[in-house]
Amino acid sequence: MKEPRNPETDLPVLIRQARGGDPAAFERLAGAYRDRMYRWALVRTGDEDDAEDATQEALVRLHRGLGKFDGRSRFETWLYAVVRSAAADVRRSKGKTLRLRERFVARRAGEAAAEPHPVVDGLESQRIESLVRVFLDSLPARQREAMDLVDLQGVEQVEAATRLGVSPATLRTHLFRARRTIRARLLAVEPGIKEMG
Amino acid sequence: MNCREFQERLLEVDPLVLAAALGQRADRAVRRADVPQDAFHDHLRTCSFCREATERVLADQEHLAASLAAMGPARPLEEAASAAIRESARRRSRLRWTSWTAAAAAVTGVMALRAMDLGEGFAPETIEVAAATAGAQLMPEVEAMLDESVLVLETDNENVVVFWFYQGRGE
Repeated sequence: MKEPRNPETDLPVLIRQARGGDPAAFERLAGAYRDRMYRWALVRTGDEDDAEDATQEALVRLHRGLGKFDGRSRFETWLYAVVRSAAADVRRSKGKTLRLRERFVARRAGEAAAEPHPVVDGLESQRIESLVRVFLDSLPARQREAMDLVDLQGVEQVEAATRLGVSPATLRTHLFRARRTIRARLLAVEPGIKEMG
Repeated sequence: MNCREFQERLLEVDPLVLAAALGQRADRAVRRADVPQDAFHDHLRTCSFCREATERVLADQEHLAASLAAMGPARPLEEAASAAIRESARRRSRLRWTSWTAAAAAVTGVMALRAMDLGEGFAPETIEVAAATAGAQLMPEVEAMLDESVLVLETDNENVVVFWFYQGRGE
């Protein structure tokens, strides 16, 4: 059996193998997309534990639903819908309200302090904490998703609107509101700019 | 445009356009030539304070994107993948079992009803119990076993109530 070297470029082969019951192919497929799935779930739910559960549930649905993926849409678009659905079900089943747990932020800050990461070097942990908290805690889920897809992940607006099941105009509305909230918070802590005439 | 007005506009502008206006590299192609020549961008070019604030906003956004990208599930991949395959197989077999049960229950129910209507004396034990209870004008309380569910179906025949036990929690 041919082994795909790059899961991204050999996706059709990988899907065919996984669909045929090859566990190693499914693991590679999961490995290629699981972090992305987790991020989508995290942005959707705003909660680390829920994101973990939703990612696992989405993996189950991915395995069960691979046969239904007909290739007419992009795999990532299809997978995004799978993750959103799983995240919604996890939230519903747990009956939780949106929240950000303190330990989530504490863990992130702790990791940043313990293992200097190129991404966060030079950025004080409190500032990261504030950024993540504002993003996950202050924005409605749809606004978070819009901003994450378009501004943070660089997905085209038309594709992002398709994934979220809204019109491009509605997407832009969510996007503008999200930007306003985030940037207003950022600017509010910028010394001086508020006082400028 | 003054700084306050600039700040108000800054809240909504596409970060790629901002990055291009600042001469920074953007992930997607927004050429510097595409940056609008308006009061906002004039102010951005001429006010060092607002330029610095804009750079800070963009940098923070990049940090946010990188922080989210650095996140990942705690469960090891191999374990998660094999658990997903197992759960997928379990659900598939449960679905098959439930379908068989549903079909069997439906067939049994129909046969029982027809038998009673035709007076052929065919009545499974479960139907007799149900009929006796219904005849007393009381709806019995039925409790399913753990991990099972029960469906109580009233019929046109007031002497017949169908109890349908099936595996699963009605998900």
